[in-house]
Amino acid sequence: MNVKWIFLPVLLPMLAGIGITFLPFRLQKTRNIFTAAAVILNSLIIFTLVLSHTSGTLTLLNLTKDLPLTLKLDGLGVVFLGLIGFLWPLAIFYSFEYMEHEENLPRFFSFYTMSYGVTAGVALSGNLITMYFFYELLTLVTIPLVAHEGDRRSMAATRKYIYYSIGGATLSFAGILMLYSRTGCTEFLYGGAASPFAGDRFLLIAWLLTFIGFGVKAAVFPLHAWLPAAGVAPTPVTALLHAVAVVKSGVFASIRSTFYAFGPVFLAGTWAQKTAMAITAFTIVFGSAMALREQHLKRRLAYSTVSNLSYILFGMSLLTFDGLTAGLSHMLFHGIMKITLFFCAGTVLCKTGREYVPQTVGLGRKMPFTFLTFGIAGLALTGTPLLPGYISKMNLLQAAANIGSPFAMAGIAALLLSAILTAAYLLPMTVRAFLVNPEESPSFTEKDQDPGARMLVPFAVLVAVMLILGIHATPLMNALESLISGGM
Amino acid sequence: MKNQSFLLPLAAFWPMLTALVTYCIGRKNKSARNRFAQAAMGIEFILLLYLLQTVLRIGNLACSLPGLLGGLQFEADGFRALYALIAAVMWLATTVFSEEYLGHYRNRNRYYFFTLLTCGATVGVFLSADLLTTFIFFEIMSFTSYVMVIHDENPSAMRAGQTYLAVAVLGGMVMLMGLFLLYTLTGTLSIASLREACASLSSEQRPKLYLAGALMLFGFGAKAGMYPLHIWLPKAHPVAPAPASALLSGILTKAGIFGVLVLSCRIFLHDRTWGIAILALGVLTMFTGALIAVFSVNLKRTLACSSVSQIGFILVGVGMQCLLGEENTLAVWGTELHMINHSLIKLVLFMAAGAVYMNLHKLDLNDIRGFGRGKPLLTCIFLSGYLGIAGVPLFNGYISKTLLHESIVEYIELLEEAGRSIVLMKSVEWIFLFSGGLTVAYMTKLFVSIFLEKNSDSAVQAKFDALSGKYMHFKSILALCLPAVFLPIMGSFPSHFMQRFAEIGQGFMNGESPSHAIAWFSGTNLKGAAISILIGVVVYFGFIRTVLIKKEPDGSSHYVNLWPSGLDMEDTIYRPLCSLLAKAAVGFSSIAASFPDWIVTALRKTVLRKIPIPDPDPADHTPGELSVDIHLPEETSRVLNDFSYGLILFGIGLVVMIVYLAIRAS
Repeated sequence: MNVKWIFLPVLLPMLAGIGITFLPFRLQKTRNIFTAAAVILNSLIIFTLVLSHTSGTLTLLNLTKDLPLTLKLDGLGVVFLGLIGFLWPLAIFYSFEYMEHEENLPRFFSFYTMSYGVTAGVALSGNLITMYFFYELLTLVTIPLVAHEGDRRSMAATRKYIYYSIGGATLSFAGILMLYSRTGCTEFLYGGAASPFAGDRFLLIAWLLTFIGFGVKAAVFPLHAWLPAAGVAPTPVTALLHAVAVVKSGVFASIRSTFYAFGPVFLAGTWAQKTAMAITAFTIVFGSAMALREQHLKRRLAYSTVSNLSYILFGMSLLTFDGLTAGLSHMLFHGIMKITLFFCAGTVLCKTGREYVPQTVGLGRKMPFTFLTFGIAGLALTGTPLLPGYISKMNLLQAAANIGSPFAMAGIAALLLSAILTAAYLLPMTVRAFLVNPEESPSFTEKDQDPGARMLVPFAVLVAVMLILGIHATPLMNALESLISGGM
Repeated sequence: MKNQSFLLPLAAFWPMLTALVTYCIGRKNKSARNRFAQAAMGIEFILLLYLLQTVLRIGNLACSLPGLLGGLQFEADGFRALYALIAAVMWLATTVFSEEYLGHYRNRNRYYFFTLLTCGATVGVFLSADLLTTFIFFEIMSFTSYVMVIHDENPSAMRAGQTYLAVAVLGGMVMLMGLFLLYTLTGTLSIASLREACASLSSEQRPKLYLAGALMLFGFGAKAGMYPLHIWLPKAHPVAPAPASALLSGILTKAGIFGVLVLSCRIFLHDRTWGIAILALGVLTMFTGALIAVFSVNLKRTLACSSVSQIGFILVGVGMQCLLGEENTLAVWGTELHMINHSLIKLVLFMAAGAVYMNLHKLDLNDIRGFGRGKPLLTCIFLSGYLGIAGVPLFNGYISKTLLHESIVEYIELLEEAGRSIVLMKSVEWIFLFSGGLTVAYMTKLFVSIFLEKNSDSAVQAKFDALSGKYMHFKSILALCLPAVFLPIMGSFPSHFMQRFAEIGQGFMNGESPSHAIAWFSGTNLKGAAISILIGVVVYFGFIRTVLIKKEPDGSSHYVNLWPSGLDMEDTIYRPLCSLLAKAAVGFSSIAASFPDWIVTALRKTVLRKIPIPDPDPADHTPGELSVDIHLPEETSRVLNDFSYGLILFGIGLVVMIVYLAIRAS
């Protein structure tokens, strides 16, 4: 496809988002159909762009003479774009049934659809300034989604979200400007532009600032606190945005700035790299330990996300090609696994009103499909062979083993410790869900049953994808490698 | 150049495939499912028999599937093909036996599904060519066998399953850490090239290699039931269905031993330090297991403890291999044959225990006492396993135990020649013989109570007697008899069977055929067995019959469990330790999590302190004039709406801008 069309995936959801609010729909159903059509159409456009190997750069505007806003599609962008293009339609269908009894639906779906376009914008950005622009925008369009309930709790969470996100973006903006003051505004290119300035402390500080700044959305310790708090949002938001789109934007932005703006050669072996490795390794264990402590199901999953995002960033901070592809594979797989877990948790919450882990004992017999899906996704996240988490974790471990430095070995230990903790916070609750016979427990009611088809279909699709990827991930891994190395 | 063969992955994946089919059939028709599962295992058996025959005919086979699960490598040499075949035998026998045993169970479909999956994974472990493949199948095996352990779903099964899963997950992860440490040191995980890669390491890297080895030993040893990680075995075996216990004890532990062998015969080949460590662990395992078994009053628990003890015997053999260095043929043969013997013996014994449980649904020796009276067939089956494991001449256990004993004796002679202290090895030899004696004692305890004594309640005994002749179906009898008959045959004609097996498998452990033929039933060898049996008789009459059996005033007697419960390592050490560690981690994380809040609080109290609104001075103003209500509206959603509509307007502006830019750009 001609490169001038690559603004479409950004624009279409925005238009649709406006339409959802302002077009005079009489029935919620027609509005749903409109929303679904827009989202599916956008995913189709994305896949056409990806499959037709669209390349080139589209300059939208020159802010100053040397500061253009550009869009371009390259290998890394394809990975992220493909992930969101696959998950958004599933999430939209899930949210139709989930949100049925909620209020303010036009607003919700409007921003839910708009954030699709903004996330696509992050993926398609051609340089750091453009990415920063969409990155900030993503914070803004997701605010009404986090605050959807409108009660005190969600307002507090929203405030936290705004403070953390805007604050973090400021740090990365400072880092971006520091980089540009040395190199001038350059387009994203694998290898980065900072290589001639080897050992420049100014630039190392700049990189660390961007890493920490983007690390806010990627929930790196100690800037993670907004993520568990944001769990008050409706589950489709938590599932898609806070397990995939928003947090992965943080990870994606971090990867972009590291590999495509500063460059791995410049950073490798510096104290800045070691700092990043130490922070991520710590967050990996920290997130899992907090998840083990947490009894609120959605918050437990949120802490698990905190831990898993750092898996990806740890892979990135190895600064090797292996590390990057390993991290990206975990980014894809974690997206699929975590959205599944959140969908299950959300189904339990929506159908039975149960929010806490101890309340799910015995529920598995009443909701077999939901908990079976939960169990499979849980095993996958733990890293059981035959399921995708195993592949990506193994890639990460192998990449770290190839480096072999003390920090890398500490990272391996952190990954394995976290795997044990993951098993501890996911598997026993799955087993307990099937343990008690519901007939013997008076606390179960008629309501406690599997959800309808609109929720079950996404489950089935996700489980099928997990099984396929788990058993035969080689084509995907090869594709990832050629995408990153070839750049399209 | 090795021969490529797709037989290897087929052998591993065929059971997994049939697992699915079995499940589907089982939803429609129960008996068709049983028949299909048996047929599938029969085919697996034939497949592996053919594989072994091919390996013996044309040499090692290999196969690599780079696309699957991140790259799977298979290889079969004599030992691996032989052990995969034994796995198939075990699954065939237990699957046939399951039909009757599980006749009245719930969730049979699930049982078959996971048992067959476990079968594929176990065969995969034995046929793997690199340690990563081993790890993959090992993990699958751990998770699928968990479902076998908890099949009954009662509290004790769930608790045992919890222990099993915890040990498996922990062991797996620690093992993986070791694998990666090994990989960074040597750059390879292929079993075939590990020996050279490790031999070429510099002496500074040896400590790291030991660390890697210790971590992997943790993982493999946990599955094998090595002390002090044996805790799951005595809990999991009694609660699992008997066919599953036979598999857990007979073959899953051997998958762990397989890993220990890779460590000892490839990475630490002829390494004395490693040998001493394995030997020490082996002696501890051997003795502890036997001791608990003597005290146990539960049929399957005794057998499970006996498994721990026999694994200890095998580990002693592995340790001796490393210590003896080049002249380790006896130890190699002993290790391998004891593995095979133990698998087959435990198959027979656990299925016999299953035959008891299937009729009585009880396992306590006082409840099942006298069940075997007047049942000659079951008596013979049990007797065959009993004499086999006790190491009585003409039964198979005698051969392997003698070889293991001889290897210790040989090492003592070597030490004497070199003029070094033999006290330690002498004591190892005596612990070895004493543990053999304990084996005789606890097996005698089982045999006497079930098959010779009468139940203390004569009404119960009458019920037992009434069951004679109709306590088992023909198919189950077949599944029990064939392996049981094989045991004395193997033991009576060692040169035809045992020696042949040993020669097939010795290449894997870098052993060589001995220079002269072994006199299996020579005087010295018989003497060792006689000492053990004598110790056993003394322990039985001097300890079990006097201390562990309590006589009532009315003449009846019953077995008492005198094992102090405070010695349960799981309850006194592991569980408190785990919860302590978890609490420490969680506490530390919580403190870390509140760290950002401290910063905020600190900032609020210092730089960002709010300036209080000064009280209106009543002297200047009349009350009420300045007191403006600064209430924030309670209805926050209104604020939100305003904010969100503002955002939408912002979005519209943005869209217009992008459209304009796009048009201009194109």
